[in-house]
Amino acid sequence: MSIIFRYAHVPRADGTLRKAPFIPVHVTNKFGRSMEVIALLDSGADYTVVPKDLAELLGLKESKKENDTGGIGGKVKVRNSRLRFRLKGNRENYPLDVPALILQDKNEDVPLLLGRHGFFEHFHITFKQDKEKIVLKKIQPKKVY
Amino acid sequence: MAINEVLPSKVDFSRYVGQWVVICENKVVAHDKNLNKIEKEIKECKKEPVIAKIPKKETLIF
Repeated sequence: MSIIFRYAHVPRADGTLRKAPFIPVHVTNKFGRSMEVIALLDSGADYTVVPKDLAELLGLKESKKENDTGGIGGKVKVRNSRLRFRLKGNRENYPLDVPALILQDKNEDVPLLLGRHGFFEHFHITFKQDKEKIVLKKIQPKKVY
Repeated sequence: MAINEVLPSKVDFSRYVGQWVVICENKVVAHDKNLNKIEKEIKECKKEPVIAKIPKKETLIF
């Protein structure tokens, strides 16, 4: 079975709409409550990136050592962590635990970004840009006889 | 096969560019640049709240 999400229409500062592959992930916050966070599925990112204030709300533990990382936007300071979440469909519910980088600058203007490590290994993911849909199909582990 | 909608289609998110929003039962109940300032509304939502960041800039790559 596949889980299908329609691209989200998110406004830009100029009022136009950006259609992008956001998907909801279910996490538990530091108060022990479940919540759904809308994350951008980013196939260009090696790792999942968590904004600082979201990491604080989730109570994520971070490494003591700060590292530099970056992409087209330039270098940013991050600390290593892990993010546990569930991906849910109509009849599916998959727990995941992925390596994550927590942004140290609260002014970084990004949503939760889901990168490849720890997540893309478990799903065949199809970006249907013309239909504005993302299809995620769980990869079943190979049986060993 | 069912297609899941990620954000409620009837909500105008253009007012919240650059902010975090808390959506409870398909309605925006709180919004702020700082997520820590809207923790109260996250706690008070009786159903599972939805949290989304409406970024100002183009998110190209990370």
